[in-house]
Amino acid sequence: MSEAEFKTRHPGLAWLAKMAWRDSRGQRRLLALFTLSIVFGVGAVVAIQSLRSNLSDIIEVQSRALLGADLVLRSQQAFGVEMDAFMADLGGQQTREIRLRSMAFFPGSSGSQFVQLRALDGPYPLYGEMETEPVELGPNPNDWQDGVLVEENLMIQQQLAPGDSIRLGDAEFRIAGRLVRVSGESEVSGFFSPRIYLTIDQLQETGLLQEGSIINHRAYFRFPDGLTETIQEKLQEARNNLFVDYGIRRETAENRQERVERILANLFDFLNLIGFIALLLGGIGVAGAVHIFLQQKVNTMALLRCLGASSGLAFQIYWLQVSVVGMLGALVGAMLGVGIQFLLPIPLRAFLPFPIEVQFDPGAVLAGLLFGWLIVSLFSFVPLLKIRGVSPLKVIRSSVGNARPMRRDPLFWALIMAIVAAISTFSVLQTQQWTYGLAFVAGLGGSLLLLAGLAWLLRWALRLSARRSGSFAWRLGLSNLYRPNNRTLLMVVSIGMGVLLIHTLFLVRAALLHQVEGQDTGDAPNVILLDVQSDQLDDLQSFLSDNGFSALETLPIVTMRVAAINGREMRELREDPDAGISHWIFSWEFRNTFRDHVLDNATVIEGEFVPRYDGPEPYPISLSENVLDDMKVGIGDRISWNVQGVRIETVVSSVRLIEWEVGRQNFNVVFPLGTIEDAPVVYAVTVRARDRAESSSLQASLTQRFPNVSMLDLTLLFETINNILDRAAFVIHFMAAFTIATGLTVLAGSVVTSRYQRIKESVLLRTLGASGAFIRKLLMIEFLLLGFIAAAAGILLSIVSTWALLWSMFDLELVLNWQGSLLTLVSVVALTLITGLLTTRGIASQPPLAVLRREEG
Amino acid sequence: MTEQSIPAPPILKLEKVIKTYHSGHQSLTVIRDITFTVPPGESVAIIGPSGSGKTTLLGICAGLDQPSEGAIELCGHRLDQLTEDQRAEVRNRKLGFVFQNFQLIPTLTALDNILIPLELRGDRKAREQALDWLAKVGLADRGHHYPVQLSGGEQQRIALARACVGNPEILFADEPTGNLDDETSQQIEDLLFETHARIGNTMVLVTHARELAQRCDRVLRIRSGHLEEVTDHVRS
Ligand SMILES: Nc1ncnc2c1ncn2[C@@H]1O[C@H](COP(=O)(O)OP(=O)(O)O)[C@@H](O)[C@H]1O
Ligand SMILES: [Mg+2]
Repeated sequence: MSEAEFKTRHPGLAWLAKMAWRDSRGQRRLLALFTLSIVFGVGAVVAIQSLRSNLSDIIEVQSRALLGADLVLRSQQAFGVEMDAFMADLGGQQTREIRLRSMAFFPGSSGSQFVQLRALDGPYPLYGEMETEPVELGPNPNDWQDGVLVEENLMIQQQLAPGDSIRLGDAEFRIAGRLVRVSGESEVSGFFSPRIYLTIDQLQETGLLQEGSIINHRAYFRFPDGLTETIQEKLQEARNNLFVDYGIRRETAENRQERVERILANLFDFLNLIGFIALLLGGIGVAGAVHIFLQQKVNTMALLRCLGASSGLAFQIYWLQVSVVGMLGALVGAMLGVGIQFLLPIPLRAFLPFPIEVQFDPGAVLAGLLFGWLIVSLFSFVPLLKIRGVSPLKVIRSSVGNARPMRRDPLFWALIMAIVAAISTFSVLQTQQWTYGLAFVAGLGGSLLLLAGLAWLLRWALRLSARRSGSFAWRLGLSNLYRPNNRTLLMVVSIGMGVLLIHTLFLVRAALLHQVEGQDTGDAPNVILLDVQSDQLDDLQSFLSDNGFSALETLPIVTMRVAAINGREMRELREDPDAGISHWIFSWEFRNTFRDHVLDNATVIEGEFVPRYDGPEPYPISLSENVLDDMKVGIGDRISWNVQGVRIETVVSSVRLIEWEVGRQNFNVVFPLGTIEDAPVVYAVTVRARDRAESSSLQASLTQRFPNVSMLDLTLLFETINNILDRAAFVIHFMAAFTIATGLTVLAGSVVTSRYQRIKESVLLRTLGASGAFIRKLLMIEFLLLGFIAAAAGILLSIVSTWALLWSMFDLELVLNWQGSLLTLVSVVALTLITGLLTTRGIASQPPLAVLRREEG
Repeated sequence: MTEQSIPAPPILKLEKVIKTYHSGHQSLTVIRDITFTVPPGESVAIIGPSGSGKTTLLGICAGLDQPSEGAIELCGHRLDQLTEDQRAEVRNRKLGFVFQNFQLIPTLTALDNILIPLELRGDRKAREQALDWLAKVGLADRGHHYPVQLSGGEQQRIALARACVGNPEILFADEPTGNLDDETSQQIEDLLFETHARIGNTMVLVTHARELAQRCDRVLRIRSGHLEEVTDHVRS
């Protein structure tokens, strides 16, 4: 044999495949189980990616329908002569809309409801469609023969049918049909106040268009050639003067598309990361299972080496097995993902501003396959690396150790870095921001470590307590968690991670709901009456006390816009890029109040609050801390206001820090008494209703007496928020459930790989006289403990992470919900127990002799 | 040795081989300075009490392990100077190994187990030769059985077929009958010497069994790390 003969020969790929196939004999079911570990992760990623690409395709095609027009101009007051002239000059097809919220009363059922009225002078939308029932109604309210269009949900709630009547303000109309959907709007947009379409003439009849009410004016444009450069130039020109003077906001189809895309991107990034966690856990699970699988193969490997196989060849045989199995898992996962892709839109539908057409997306499937396979390959490389070091000497001496510990293997570290790099790349690509992506990886790694640490502590504590006072079965069951080669930490971490995710979502949601609901206790107001005119105030108050209510707060409101800051006109500030004043200040219709005291939920943090002022302008005003930066003002700065054409000069004399609460009317700007009482004032009156029944009856009688007064019923609002959170939570929980499912498959895989060891133990115990029932009891205890440790560690960590999340992102307090946590704990323990018992079936009944004989061979 | 024949170069040659095991702070020298050669075609038995280093020595001779010091030449290759993968190559081409506990691959059938060494070489006519050897060890009808379905003696016969199928120049056997009852041991012994006689290869075997040692050309005893010729050896 010459030196050249030592060049590594390879018996060929076909042989490799054959050998890999033969070697998997008797363990194919086990290998199939590994694949399950990544099925759910790949499924989640494929589903989310496919859906995402479906949606972006739709958005691309329907970008104009999202806005319903090429351009929308909005104002919080009537447009006025100058704007009318400007818009006439823009040309194209135009539709005007007036939008306001009000009460609707249904004489047929005596029901009433807070609604949004949308009065049109022509067809809407100019792109896309308004789906109505009956279909013939069409998109133009002028064709509805004096009828109005009512949102379908409201019709159902109030048991209305076309032809019934509806009272709006002073007028009563016939319901012409139902509004099914308007393109560009999701179902959620009608959740708080259902939509009613009518003509502008009809709206005039209602008498609801009063000074001081919150009214939104819109003009929709459709241009024959889209947004041409000429039009854009005109808009650009008006932006810094006309639009500032009249507080006009504009939005183009392109702006809207970007906005929708951004929102969807955030949603999908988030869902994708959850899917990714499931995939990663699967990867870790595969690595763990492959590790045990390979341990059983050490002897075969040593023998192959002994018979002349190179270390590379032995590696290839097993890598091929794992790799093929990984590919299969990814394939099954991709199929699952495509299935989910068709299901997921159902709960998501309410949030999407257009109907979804689900389409098979080969790119997403390919990406999912590739990524799933990559994860399996990378993770299983870790245990595979070890087999390079298997010495042929092992055949003659089983005690021979591995060549060297993994820690000293540079390839091991290179692999770990490759894994971290792959994960980081994925999450940075996903979040499209370095910081977020890396923070996600760090958070994930940290959670895994913390989970493992917590689990370790729990196990240790359990053992300590069992040593003191545990029955024999308990101590034995517990010691199973410590058996050599145990995968306890792996199993706990993979199940615990799912628990952590789900329970965190649960706690965040509880905190959000608590924030809303929590204030609905004691004497806090929960009904707000809006747009009460000055001359109605006395009547309203006596009406309230007649009905057993008392006005808790009566808040005067004067609407005004900012005209100048420190002597610089808003037009000028708009053109000055260095002014740094927030967009909204230019067009915002401020609802300011006057009073002689600071409310109990606010504190003066700077300057001095002036309760009453009888001097000349500038009037000393108090600002809320949150507008300071947006207006770029501080104590002593001057603000000029435009109160329906009249200018008022003010100076900032104090700053309040407000604790914002739902149900409390808070004000950015408070004037002292003696200043603006003579300006056009409307009032908001807050009252307290004991329950929904009481608020409903108030609503019914109120609508009849004061048709222009709107009632915001917070008890109803809670329900609505709850409803929205429910739907959002469903989608997220659905994804998080994939992590749990992955955790359980990892558990099943680990248990099955330890099956032989368990059989030996059980046989030994039985030769010593233990009954089959005793063995089963041991197994039960083991899985109970395992489930408990995983769930407890996940729940504990989720409490900490939720606290951190709420504190840093929402500034909310953590609300613990023991029943919910207990339910999570019990369900996870039950799931673990069931999975464990299913995978250990038959262990307690193996005939001892057969097992002992097999030992000899 | 007659004048006419030039002595053939030895097939196995150990020179000043030392093997020391280190475990923790302690070290144990199992083999101290062993030098010996085996000419082609010879059968050699290595005997010695349990724990004396027989397996260690055989492992070093077969290139399964490396000596701490010294040189080993097998079929003209300096085993101590090759890389692990090159030694694997030599093992595949030049030698066969029979183990005390058979060491069949449990997931492969008897026939497939025999095939492995040839397949590793990429040999195309492997199957015929394997079937041939299956017949030679008297198990022609058991080729499709898995190791668990075979008795100990049958397993060892398959192992022997596997060791010989590649026509190795030298066959190593570490207590090949150690796990078998007397009667089966006898059958394996016979088979071992039959094949030795048939292919005329070199054979180095480690054994406890006196009669097995007796049938070899030469018997060496390992004692406190040294190898000594057993002079009272009478070939039966
Ligand atoms: N890896 C090792 N580390 C330390 N000592 C070892 C190792 N392998 C074998 N030994 C020791 O070397 C001696 C010889 O072992 P061995 O070659 O198996 O003897 P034999 O086969 O003659 O019974 C024994 O005392 C054994 O304990
Ligand atoms: Mg030995």
